[in-house]
Amino acid sequence: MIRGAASANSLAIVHKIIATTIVIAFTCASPAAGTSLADTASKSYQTEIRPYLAKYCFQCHGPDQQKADLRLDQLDPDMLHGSDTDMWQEVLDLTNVSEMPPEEARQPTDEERQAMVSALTEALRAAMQSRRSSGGRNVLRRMTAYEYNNTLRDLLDLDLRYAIDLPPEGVAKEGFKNNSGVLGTSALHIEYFERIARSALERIILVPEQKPKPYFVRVEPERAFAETAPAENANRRNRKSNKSAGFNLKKGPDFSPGNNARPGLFRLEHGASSDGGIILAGNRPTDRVGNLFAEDKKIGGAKGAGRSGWQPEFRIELYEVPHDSPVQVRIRCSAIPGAGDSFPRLSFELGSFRGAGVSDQKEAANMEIRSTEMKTYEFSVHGANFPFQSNKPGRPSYFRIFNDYRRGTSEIPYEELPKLKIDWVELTCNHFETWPSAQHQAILFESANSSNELEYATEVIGKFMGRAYRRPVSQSEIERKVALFQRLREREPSFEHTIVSTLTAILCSPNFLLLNEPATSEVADDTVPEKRSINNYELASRLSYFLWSSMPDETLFDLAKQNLLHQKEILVAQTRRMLADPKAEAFSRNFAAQWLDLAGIRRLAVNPEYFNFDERTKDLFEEETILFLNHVLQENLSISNFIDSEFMVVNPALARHYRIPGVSGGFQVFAVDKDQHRGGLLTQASMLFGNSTGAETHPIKRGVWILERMLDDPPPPPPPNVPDLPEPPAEDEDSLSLKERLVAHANVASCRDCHQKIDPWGVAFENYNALGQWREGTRDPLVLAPHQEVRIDPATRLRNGPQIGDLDDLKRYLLTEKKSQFRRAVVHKVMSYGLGRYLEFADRPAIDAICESIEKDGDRFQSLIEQIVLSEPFSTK
Amino acid sequence: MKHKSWHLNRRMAFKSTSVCLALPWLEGMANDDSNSSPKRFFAGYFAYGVPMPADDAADRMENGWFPMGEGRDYEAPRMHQSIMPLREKVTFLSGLSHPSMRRTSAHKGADYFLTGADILKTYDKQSISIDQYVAQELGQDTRFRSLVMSSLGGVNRPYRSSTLSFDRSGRPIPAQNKPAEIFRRMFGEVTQSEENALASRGSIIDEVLNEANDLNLRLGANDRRKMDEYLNSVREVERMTERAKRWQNTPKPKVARDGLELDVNPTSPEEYLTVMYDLLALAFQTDSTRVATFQTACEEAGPTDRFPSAIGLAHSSHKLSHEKKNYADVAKYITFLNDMHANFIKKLDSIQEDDGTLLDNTLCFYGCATSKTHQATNYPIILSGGSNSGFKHGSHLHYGDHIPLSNLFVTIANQLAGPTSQFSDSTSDITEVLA
Repeated sequence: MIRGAASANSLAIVHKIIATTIVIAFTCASPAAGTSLADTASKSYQTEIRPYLAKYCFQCHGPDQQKADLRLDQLDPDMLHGSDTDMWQEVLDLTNVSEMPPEEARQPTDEERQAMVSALTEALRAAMQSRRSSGGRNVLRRMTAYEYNNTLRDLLDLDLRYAIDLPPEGVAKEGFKNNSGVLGTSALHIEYFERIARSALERIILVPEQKPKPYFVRVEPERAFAETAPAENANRRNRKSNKSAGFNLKKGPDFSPGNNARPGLFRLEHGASSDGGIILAGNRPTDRVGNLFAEDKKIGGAKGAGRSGWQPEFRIELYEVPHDSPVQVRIRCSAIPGAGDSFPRLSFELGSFRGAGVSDQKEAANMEIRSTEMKTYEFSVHGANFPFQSNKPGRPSYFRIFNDYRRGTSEIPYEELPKLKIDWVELTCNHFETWPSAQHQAILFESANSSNELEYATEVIGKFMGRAYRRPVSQSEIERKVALFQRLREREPSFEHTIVSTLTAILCSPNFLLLNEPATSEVADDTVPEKRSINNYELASRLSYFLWSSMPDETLFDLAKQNLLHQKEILVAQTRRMLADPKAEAFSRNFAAQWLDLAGIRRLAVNPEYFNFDERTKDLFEEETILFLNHVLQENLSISNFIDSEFMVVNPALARHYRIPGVSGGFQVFAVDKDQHRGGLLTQASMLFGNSTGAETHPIKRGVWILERMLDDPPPPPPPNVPDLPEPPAEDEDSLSLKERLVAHANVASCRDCHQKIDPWGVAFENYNALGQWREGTRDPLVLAPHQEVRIDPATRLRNGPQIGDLDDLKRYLLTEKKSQFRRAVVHKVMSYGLGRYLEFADRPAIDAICESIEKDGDRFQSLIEQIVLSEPFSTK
Repeated sequence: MKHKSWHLNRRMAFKSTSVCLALPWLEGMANDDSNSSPKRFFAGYFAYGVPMPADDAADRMENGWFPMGEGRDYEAPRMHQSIMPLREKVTFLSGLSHPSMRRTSAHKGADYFLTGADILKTYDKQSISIDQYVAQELGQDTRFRSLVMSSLGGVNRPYRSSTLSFDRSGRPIPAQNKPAEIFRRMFGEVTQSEENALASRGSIIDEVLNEANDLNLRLGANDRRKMDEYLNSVREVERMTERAKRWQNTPKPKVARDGLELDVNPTSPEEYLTVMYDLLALAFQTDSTRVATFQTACEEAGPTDRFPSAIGLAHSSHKLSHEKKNYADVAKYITFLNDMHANFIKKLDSIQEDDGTLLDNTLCFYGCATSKTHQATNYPIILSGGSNSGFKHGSHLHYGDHIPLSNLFVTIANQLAGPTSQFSDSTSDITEVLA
């Protein structure tokens, strides 16, 4: 039965790759409005499928003979409700790979076979969609791990990494993680939910009566280096010079943990000292100017893949960072503006050395400093947010402070770079503005009843519960939790401990963990309640999980309480307010990552035989796309910018990757010159690299990506047994480029139909190598020898479409003839994400209306989101 | 098949801890008077199949997986050299596979490797995995019913599972992939807070269940299906809590962390696999659990696909598996995985228990659900250990392509769990692996 699988070749690889990315189509190509999917299927059975079967199959699998015990004429044509769906799939697969009819029997023409395959594929697809159907209704779902994290952050007003130990989340067929269908809940989840909630509550509630004494360390760099600092030009001569010194930090009176054997360390690398401070530029004085696209060399800093050692910085290394308390960071500094009125960027990171020279870090701040006067800037970070705290010898935690204005691909000399002048830095551990902490007081607030445990507990529970459940809670709900409190109180050591346990129960409750919209009265078994308008609180949650990936804020709760949220003007105003809030970054980040499959960047390894590649650049690929989408959102630009734009969002390192000169500073929006061949999502490395092989381009993956992500027209998955091609003679094989092998593959009749639909889309990207860098002609100098010879030919013809010369042509085509399909696809994706479910036939009218409305409004991204918020599916259950 | 008295024998004795020098230092195991050691089961999985040069190829023994010759006189190819010192405790199996999935496009192996279910078209028929099946019996007397691990963690998605284990309803059990968390759950000192939590958990769960049941009444049919999942999970936690309470007064085994690199992740494959296998050995050695699975890699692009980089190979494991001429690289990679597995088996064999080594009391089932590239037949399988449960080794056993792997699962279930006549689509059992 296994046909040729033993000698699968690279084409089969291709298929498997697609199989991992292709999803079963969700929306049918375009059944005429008004016909149901089932009707379409039944019609195609009569006109396409049955006649074919009668002609080629019934002879052996019909009334007279039933080879392999199979009788096709009696298969239930109702693929939706019938019991033969599996068998139909089998028929499809065997037909697809030309296994049936067998060689000795009469053979259908390629056209007949393809027509039958398409019809049966469509019918099965419709059946699958229908089986999965919830009737276009929202189904309750668990919060995703990142939503859980953000919700706890907002509920407890404490920004910690709560969700890092939760099991990794699955992904729905369209790429969305918030899809009800894939959000499983296991015992392990519940175990962690309880553990995480409890430890967060303990951290806030179970605190000593006395405020922990703050202790601080203060670094005044110029004093430390007054004697040892070499003159600036000496530094320049000696490229390896690395001003670094152990330095006894000035300690505050209560610097108690002091492990004298392991004092803190202050390291300055490549900074210059001057009167009253040290000076940090974005580049080392020794970094050569004019070598625009050459990578900086790593000198000093932590070894391994860390971010340290690439530019001037100073680090405060400490073994005594408190695991569990806030740290206030105060930095007194000023700007020394650079050429063209540029300003330094004050950045710092928390990190820990993980051993073996590896460090992990988390950016804590990154801000432009414009004041040329010395000013003190204050930041708050939390000790618990340090990645990997070991405090083992040789593995201290550190604060890394640097100037993030890099020269990049500009030719600004060191002297003209904007610099940061730092007077001093002070870290205050155990920094609490008030005691008990604000978070503590928010839960255990002042009350006239606080002397009566039970009454006080009732108040505390009631207040906490309402926010946790994101709706008003009934008296009886509170009473139950108070009863739990009473039961627990008998064995818990204190009132506070009992509150911790009771609130933990609230945070394990389905009313907290599940985004649910229950009916107001009991529902009979196996029935689905009538569709209804969701209430104001439910709407508030839908909005906040859509736009913030978190719970509603007080403003939303207030409006819900006043029953105002359903009013159109208010709903629109709130949507705008929410999108303007920094929390809306969660939308850009999560939606972009899931819609565009940014995880693909991490799945793929760059082949070191083809590229010298710095792994850290992958972060930038991801960041570029997220910031790009965020820019379109925040500026309320047209979604057509996703296809092509006159701007790009890059930073110096990405500019170097793309070979774009003149980019300095940090991540910024830049205008694109035509000859830079950039614009839109299509030319971003996240897509181009994520859909390559890590060495070569991969037109099929790129084609599938366009069809799936930009046009919402995913090709069907390859049949289960990909037929092998006749092996090319061994000596020829290596000479075939991937593209040529694809062409060969697409020439096999059973493959042709799909690949003619896919491949041309990807071929148009041939001017972009596997890393998304521009290439033309016959040689790609950015690839390592001996792989530089390439035959770049982006010309192609789209099936049922025009001749395409290159990607610019393709973009034009997408933005003209395919514009409405593209618009519809984006609406579909955003809506599917917003609702946390697959869209269905029943959602079509709403999608149609949104498309129509935003087209009139210049296809602006915010308008699109507003229209989704205003749509019927968004406000009904 | 009769149960031995080990049921009540919660803890095994360490006769010699000095043997397992490679393991972190252990101390203070309670030793109750029993004369038989527990039965245990391990199932391991690797991705993407094995190299299979033709039998007459020059590199057959150099690069192939399957032994030459059958029975006791087989000759093992070079990639198995590291396990050959234990030849008498190891059996190579070839030919077996899961019938319903023989036509699959492969890459789904982890989803059905231990279940044998027919998930070719839909996931509806997914069913219990053999490890969870035997855990119903073997999992009763340990702190943890089973230990489910994979390098990717979680469940990933249907047909690209990142867990080998499926519960009685065929639902995937999320795998753990963080060494530090695995260590904490098994050996981490129980803090005051955790003790408190345990004391209160029963009441909390009762309340949460009541609340969930109330909510359930007001949900439509679609919602209830999702809600069931939540309810079942909470009930499972309830059972886990009861179990944890029974174990409350038994201190967790003391295991020093010093020898373990718990912060590593799959980007350093050698270190990562080493610590994961070490944790498995420790879990068995301390009798924290008697059933464990470990999916070393997911058949999906990602960090585990890049394991070959650990030994300096440029290609992903998926790409390597498609090599059809020059098997040297893929053989090198599989050798690396085999070495990691062999180290684990040897470690088990170095730990003495009352009636033999830990390996003798642990049946280890290791393999993959494809042979060459994407051929979902003729699974490469190594069976080792478990001689005290009646298993016999020292041979290469070859079966016809039509024999279901589930036949072996029937035998495993019979030997480890209790009388079992059927597992998934089994047609018989496989007695050749028994003494």
